[in-house]
Amino acid sequence: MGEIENMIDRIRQGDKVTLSKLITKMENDPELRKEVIKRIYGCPVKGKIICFTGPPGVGKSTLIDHVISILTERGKKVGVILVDPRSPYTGGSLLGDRIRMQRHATNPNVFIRSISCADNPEGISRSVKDILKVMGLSGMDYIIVETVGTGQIAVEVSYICHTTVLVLMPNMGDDIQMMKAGIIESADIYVINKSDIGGADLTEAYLKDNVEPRNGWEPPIIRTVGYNRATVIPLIEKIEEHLKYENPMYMEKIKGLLKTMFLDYIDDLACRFLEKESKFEEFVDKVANCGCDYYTAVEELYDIFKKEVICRDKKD
Amino acid sequence: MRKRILIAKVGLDGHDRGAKVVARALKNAGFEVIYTGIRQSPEQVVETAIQEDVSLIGLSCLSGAHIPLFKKVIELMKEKGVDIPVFCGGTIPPGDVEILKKMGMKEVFGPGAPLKLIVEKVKKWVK
Ligand code: B12
Ligand SMILES: Nc1nc2c(ncn2[C@@H]2O[C@H](COP(=O)(O)OP(=O)(O)OP(=O)(O)O)[C@@H](O)[C@H]2O)c(=O)[nH]1
Ligand SMILES: [Mg+2]
Repeated sequence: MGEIENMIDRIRQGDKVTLSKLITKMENDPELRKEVIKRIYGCPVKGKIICFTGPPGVGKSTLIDHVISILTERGKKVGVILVDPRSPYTGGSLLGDRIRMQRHATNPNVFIRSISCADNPEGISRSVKDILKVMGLSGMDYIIVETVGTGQIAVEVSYICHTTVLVLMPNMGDDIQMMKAGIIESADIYVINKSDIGGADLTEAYLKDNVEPRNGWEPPIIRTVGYNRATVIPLIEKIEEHLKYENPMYMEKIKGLLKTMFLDYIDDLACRFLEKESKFEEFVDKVANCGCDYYTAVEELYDIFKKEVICRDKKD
Repeated sequence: MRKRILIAKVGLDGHDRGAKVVARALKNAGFEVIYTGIRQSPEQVVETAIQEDVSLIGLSCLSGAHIPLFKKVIELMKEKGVDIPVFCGGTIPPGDVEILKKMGMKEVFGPGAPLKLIVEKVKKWVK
């Protein structure tokens, strides 16, 4: 495992090639991911994490492109993680967010990485949370995450980052859409992009009716036009303001994230157990043929899990 | 194991149909494809390949400037100490194929190259 330590050292010194290689390894191998996290746990992370989320095609990547420009002109180092969907049918993906920000590809103060995400309503893959920790070691001042164009329940992103920006555009539906629970309640900043196409007044009115102050922070609503960099500057100012604001509920937020991470790992362990457990298929067969109900089947599997995995681990 | 491939358009050439068609075929074959979009400098292509940690780079050029541009990409990689296999396509005159292969191209696919063949080759290279 000296190799991992070596890599971490090099990443700390700002080596992008190593950062890139370690991200690949972490994506491919959950065991290695675990080793990495165990090693860097508790290390101070400098970078502020800003998340851009919102429905497909609203202009998240286009806005991030300007945000990178403006931040790097201010002398900052910026890391970017772009998450795009992976086909559940072929496993393939076309990672295309990057096209909108290729002008930063050769900037030494920018690191951009595209990641595919399988069917996951949260719009980010599990490995992203761990990858963010590793990117945090590399001395970036900001780490920007773009999620898959999400539906309505992507709340988890608001746990992993310091500031969540929800990007919307005009003509996306009526006020009922805004009233639905989920992300609309969890963003720190709301952006109405494409405000050049008309209809932004109504969208803003709907948003105003549904966005409420939380813990002393009044989420601003900002209009932008992706083709006009000047409209993105007020967004950056608001992001900076939010990063300075001290959320009295910060600990709660962190605990919320930890809970999801605990559950993720339990889920992982359970999946790996089931993969190896021959009784799994047997029980599925049995339930499929009405031999028993699935609650009973799962309870019996759980008993095996307890006996085999938990007792064995104790003996080790 | 995720298999990552970069499809890149170098130079001022705006013919992107071929690159997109190839990108889509590879995506449908289960690869993770990163597409750069048009008008990329060799520097941008190499930097992107490094940051995305791809196992293969596919270059596309229909402007006629393939030899100097592709050469620059390969030289830059050597300079940076990275060694990623490269293949290419576009309107490449038959006479240039050998030159490109000597330069280090794994394979050259001209107009009309069947997508099935391209995918088959890539599957052989990227395991
Ligand atoms: C369609 C087309 C256009 C369209 C492009 C639309 C677009 N967005 O792509 C338009 C009308 C815009 C256009 C414009 C021009 N064009 Co034009 N165009 C063509 C044409 C007729 C077909 C190209 C095409 O899309 N083919 C279909 C795709 C699927 O095939 P493909 O690109 O060849 O890709 C296949 C293979 O080459 C290979 N492949 C390609 N890339 C890659 C990458 C990898 C990694 C791999 C593995 C394989 C691979 O696999 C693909 C599948 O088989 C060609 C003629 C021809 N027969 O190729 C001229 C051609 C390319 N154009 C030409 C010219 C000169 C121009 C213009 C300069 C004309 C002008 N004076 O304004 C402009 C320049 C535009 C620009 N900004 O660069 C010349 C180029 C001459 C040269 N190479 O020396 C050609 C060859 C015509 C000719 N015989 O003179 N063009
Ligand atoms: N009219 C208009 N078009 C815009 C604006 N901003 C971006 N676009 C266009 O909208 C399209 C989608 O932009 P992206 O930035 O790729 O959107 P995205 O939200 O990142 O998309 P996904 O990642 O696919 O969810 C592109 O064609 C942009 O050029 C804007 O302010 N006005
Ligand atoms: Mg995008």
